[in-house]
Amino acid sequence: MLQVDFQKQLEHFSLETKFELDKEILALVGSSGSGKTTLLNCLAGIVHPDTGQISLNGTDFFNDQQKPLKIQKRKVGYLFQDYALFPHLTVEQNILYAVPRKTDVSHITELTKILGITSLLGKYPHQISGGEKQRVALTRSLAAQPDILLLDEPFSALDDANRDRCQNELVRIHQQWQIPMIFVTHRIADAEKLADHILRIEKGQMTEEPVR
Amino acid sequence: MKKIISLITAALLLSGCTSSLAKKEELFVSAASSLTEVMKKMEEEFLKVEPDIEMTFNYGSSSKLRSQIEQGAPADLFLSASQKDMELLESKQLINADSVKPFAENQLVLASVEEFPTSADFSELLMNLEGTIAIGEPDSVPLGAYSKSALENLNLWQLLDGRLIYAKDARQVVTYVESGNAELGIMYSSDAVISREIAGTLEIPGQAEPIIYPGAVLADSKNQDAAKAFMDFVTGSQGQAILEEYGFLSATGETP
Amino acid sequence: MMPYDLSPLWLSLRVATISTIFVFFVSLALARLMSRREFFGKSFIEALILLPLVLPPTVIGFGLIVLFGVNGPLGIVLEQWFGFRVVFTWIGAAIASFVVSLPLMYQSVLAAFEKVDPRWENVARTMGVSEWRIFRTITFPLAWSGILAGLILAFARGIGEFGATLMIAGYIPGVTETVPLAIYFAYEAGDMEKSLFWVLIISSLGVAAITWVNYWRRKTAVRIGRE
Repeated sequence: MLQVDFQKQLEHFSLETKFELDKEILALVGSSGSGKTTLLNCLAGIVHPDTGQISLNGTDFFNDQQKPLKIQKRKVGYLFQDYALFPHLTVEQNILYAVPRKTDVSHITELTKILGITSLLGKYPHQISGGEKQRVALTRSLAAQPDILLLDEPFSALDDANRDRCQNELVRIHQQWQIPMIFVTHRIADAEKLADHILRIEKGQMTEEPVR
Repeated sequence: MKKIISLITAALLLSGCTSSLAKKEELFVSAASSLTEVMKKMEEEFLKVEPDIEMTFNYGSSSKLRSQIEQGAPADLFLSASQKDMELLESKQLINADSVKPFAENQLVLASVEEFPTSADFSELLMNLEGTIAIGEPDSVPLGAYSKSALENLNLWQLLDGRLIYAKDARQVVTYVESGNAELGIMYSSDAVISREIAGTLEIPGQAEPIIYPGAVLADSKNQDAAKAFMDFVTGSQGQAILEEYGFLSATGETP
Repeated sequence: MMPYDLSPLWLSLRVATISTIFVFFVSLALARLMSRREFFGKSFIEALILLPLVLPPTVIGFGLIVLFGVNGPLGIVLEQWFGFRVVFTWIGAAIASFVVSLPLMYQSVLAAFEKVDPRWENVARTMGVSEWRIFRTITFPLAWSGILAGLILAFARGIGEFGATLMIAGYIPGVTETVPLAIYFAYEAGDMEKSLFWVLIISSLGVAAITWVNYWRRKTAVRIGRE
């Protein structure tokens, strides 16, 4: 259970959020610059709210009484907008970057099969296509078995065929892993197709939208 | 801002005034660095006799001054710590040969900020020392050349290799010793005499002959008279007394 | 052709190598600290690091003599506790090189760190990886081309250091006689041929260093873009 209730002053407005999320998929929609990415960054711990609280499954990520929990301790999987693959490491090294040696990697092997990237493992990020990067980054964000998955515009760089395929895979992964997922998108169609809940953010203010 | 501008104007006016009013003769003297202290006193006394002369001193190692003169540096009078450099200028006809005159003598001493034991032996002192010994640079500083030949006469030159710190002129040897960064230094006895910090001096054996300081008026000088007047003052009885006060020996009067 | 004793060259290389090793670690630590932390007096410390770029070498030499001289505070400590001396030794020359090349290296490293996209470090953090491991495996390798260029410049500057070196290390042939000192004293003694010999050697080293750095910058600029 993710519980979020905080305030953060941005340059032109204040971001105010309050919601709860169980093991479901939440879509964040809204025009660019409305605070969607900041919200994800607050959950991941890259930036911190001014006041309020964030907790996941009873662990406090942030509250007004104590220092925020370190990023490293949050067990968050985060897929950045343009994937942020390490350019000097191969696909395999990217995926296994945070996985200790001698760990069982069967769940990762399975992911690479589901996502069809087994043949890319020896290549470098600049040698593969945008859709392939997206799937590699998704695998990497799941490799450390996170308790929550954050995805920032995961489908924006994909063509229609790839988008459909990735979305179907994401739904499959969600059914299997049973963790809360939040994804940011500017396409309302994507949100309606995948999400259990949709939140619209405009200038920091949040409203819930009906699903379908 | 206004204040600054008026100050600058005043300064400009004043400087204009002095140069136009007092027709002072300007005398440029290039002097060996070992003469630094004594020349301050010399200038002071000389100006009491000749108040209309304005003096500017340029100190350095005599070889450096000599090469500056060769390259056309402005100078009216050259007071050298080495005869060799004077002869080089003479051979190039850059000085008036008939004006060359020795005006002082000096000798080398081993000096330290601590007193030497009365029974101290020069060679033993050098060989038993663990620190560094300051001397003048042998190829470009006359003091260094004298020091080197003295050490060679004592067969110590090779043995001290790597422990001698070379100074760019005679004054720097004094600085090295006074600051404590070199334990010992081979310097002019005149420099050791006027230094407040230096407590121990020891005459250096193996000095072939006294070190003679010659002076000469430069051939290109536009102030021949003033230069000659100062040279006469230095070699005269008053000048010789000042030199002795600062640890030099008066010139024995040998003809150059 | 071996007309002159080459010991000044070996000494210069040794002095610059040792100073560059220290410059490398110190500038990495400083640049890391300065680029990630905000603290009181930060801009003052940064100014202090960069000061040798604008100060005359004589000021640096003076400062070093005052600190490391036989009667200076650090000079006394080093001599009594560790039994070595800085003035008039090659260590003094290495310290002078260190002080003048640190700001060059520091600026290069800082620029190199700033080129590393913080999202790479952040994504590694979300994966639970420690800061030290992120630095070793992400930040440092991705900044390496800029760091290497800085190292070469720092090394070249270290070899070329003259003014402060002359003041702190003095001129002891065979002991503290680096190439720049050899040039100066050969010239002072009127030995133009010897001066020229060393001038040519040190100039070719400098030209080689700058040519290489430019080549390296062009080469790496193309290869490491974003992904």
